[in-house]
Amino acid sequence: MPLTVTTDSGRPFRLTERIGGGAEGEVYAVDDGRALVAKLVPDPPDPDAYRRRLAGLVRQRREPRTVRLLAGSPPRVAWPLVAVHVRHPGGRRIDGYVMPDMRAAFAPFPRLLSPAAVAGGASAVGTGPTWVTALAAARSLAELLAGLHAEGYVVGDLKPENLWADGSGLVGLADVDSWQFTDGAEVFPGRMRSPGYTAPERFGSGAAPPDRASDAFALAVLVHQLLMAGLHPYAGHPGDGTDFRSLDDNVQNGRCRLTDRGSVVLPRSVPPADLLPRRLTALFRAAFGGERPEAAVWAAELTAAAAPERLAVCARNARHVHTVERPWCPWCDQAARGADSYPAGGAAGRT
Amino acid sequence: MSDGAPEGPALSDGWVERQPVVLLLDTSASMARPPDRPRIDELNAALAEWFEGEHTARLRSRVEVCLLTFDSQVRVYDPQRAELVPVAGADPDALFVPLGRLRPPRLVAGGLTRMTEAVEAGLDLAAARHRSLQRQQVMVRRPFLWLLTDGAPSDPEGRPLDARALAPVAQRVRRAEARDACVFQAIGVRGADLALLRVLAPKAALYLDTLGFRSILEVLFQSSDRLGAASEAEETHAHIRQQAENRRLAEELEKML
Repeated sequence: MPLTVTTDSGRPFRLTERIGGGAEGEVYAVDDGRALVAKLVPDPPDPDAYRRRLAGLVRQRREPRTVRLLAGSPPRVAWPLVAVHVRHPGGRRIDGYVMPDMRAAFAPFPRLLSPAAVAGGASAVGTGPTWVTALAAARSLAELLAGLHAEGYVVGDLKPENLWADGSGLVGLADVDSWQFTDGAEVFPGRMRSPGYTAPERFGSGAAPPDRASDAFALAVLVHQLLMAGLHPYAGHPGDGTDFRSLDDNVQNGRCRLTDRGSVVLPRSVPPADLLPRRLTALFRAAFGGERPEAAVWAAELTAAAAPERLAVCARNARHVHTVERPWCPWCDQAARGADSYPAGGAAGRT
Repeated sequence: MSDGAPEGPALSDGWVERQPVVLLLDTSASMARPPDRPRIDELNAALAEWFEGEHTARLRSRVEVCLLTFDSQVRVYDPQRAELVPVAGADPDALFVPLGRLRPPRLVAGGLTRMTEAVEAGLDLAAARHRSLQRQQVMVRRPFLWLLTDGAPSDPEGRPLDARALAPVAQRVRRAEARDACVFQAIGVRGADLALLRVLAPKAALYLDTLGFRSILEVLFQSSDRLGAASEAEETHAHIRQQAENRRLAEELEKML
């Protein structure tokens, strides 16, 4: 007997294979003419609340604010289309939902964080990403986040594993069932947080729930990683000689190369900090040590930084694209120190 | 489960957090049971499938693994020689292999269950590796120790150990967790003495009878990546329990696929 999930009105969807698993749920391919997948959450902390959350999200899909968010092609958010459930052999009802299969238009986002490894040819990212792709993805992500913030949604658990990107840097989002939102009658809080992407105010007991500002922190981390070939802004061994504990510990103690140069020790091969345009450096410093810029501000500044007249291409390696503010090529500087994040030809290039 | 990136930032580059894992595997005689479907065969198949399968770029770029086996002897896998060697005298730094590059040896079941010695050796190896990477200024997180067993600990003569005999090593585990030096998780499968595992790891002993070794490995490795190192060891244990329950329910559903 195949594994079939059904909607409340009895419509069946046949699942074919498991294609992924997250912290709370499992994702399966759906046997359907359209590109669909189903997520099942076997053991949510509060099954009734989870069912109400899914019903709320499915209803929200018809609301003008969500329609605006989902406009455009391909749709950039894997919004729940319909709630489904299945009876577990043990008797328990397991809930989930059917959503668009992001694999139809996008590739997993994490590959953008290791550009040196993404070769051309078979890759969905074309001839291999450059810093232009990184800027485009950063801008696309900031615009997407600004858009959903404007409509009253909070992502809460913004991290690479929930994101998708196509070869041009267009970014999409999945795992909508972990978002924080209200349908007017009930507030559905975001609970999830992920190591390395949690804003400092969200640690500890009695920590703040996610909000636009904590999303903006995760956005700044992701933009930094995109523009710095994967490097986390709080990466580094503590500069004061104490033991490293975690990126989260560095976040809580303000150990960040951009805001306090001596606070961390980093390998020589990391991308140099001076590859960032001045205005973006200022935004990062604000995000990690001052007044956090909102997603819309990032979107505007990244748009400006990505303008063709703001970019230069290295004479020695066409994949070395950098800001015109630097008369030298920062990626060649990095290569001279042992690692080329954008090797010519797209082959993996650790030297 | 791969996310399609051929290689992440290389582990050796030191750009990302490093997560050492010591996997302590029971290879005593009971693992040769039942005769028609020995558990050791399932474990070997699961190890091969998990380590030779695809992993997310994130796991590949962060996790390094040391394989330790215990029966009448405690041995570790030496990746240079591609064989199990006595744990005494082995160089801890040479025993940890990036997740994607580990090619596990074929394990053979036989002998006693020298579990306490294995835990002591695992704690020593984990501590030595952690110290060495801290000295090299690598962004290393506290090591994880995961113990898989289908039995109960025995002394050198094969007599079962009782709770009192387990107390010293249990206390060492507890102290190490309390000062954030490691996180220890004990997983029992069919036949395991859960009561004794609970002495060893009061909040971190799980009996996963219905989950195959392959799923157990997946739950453990996936959970290694989902919690901040700031979380208490206890939070990690609760998370693994929850993940195992999720996987069990899903696996039973998937039988219908």
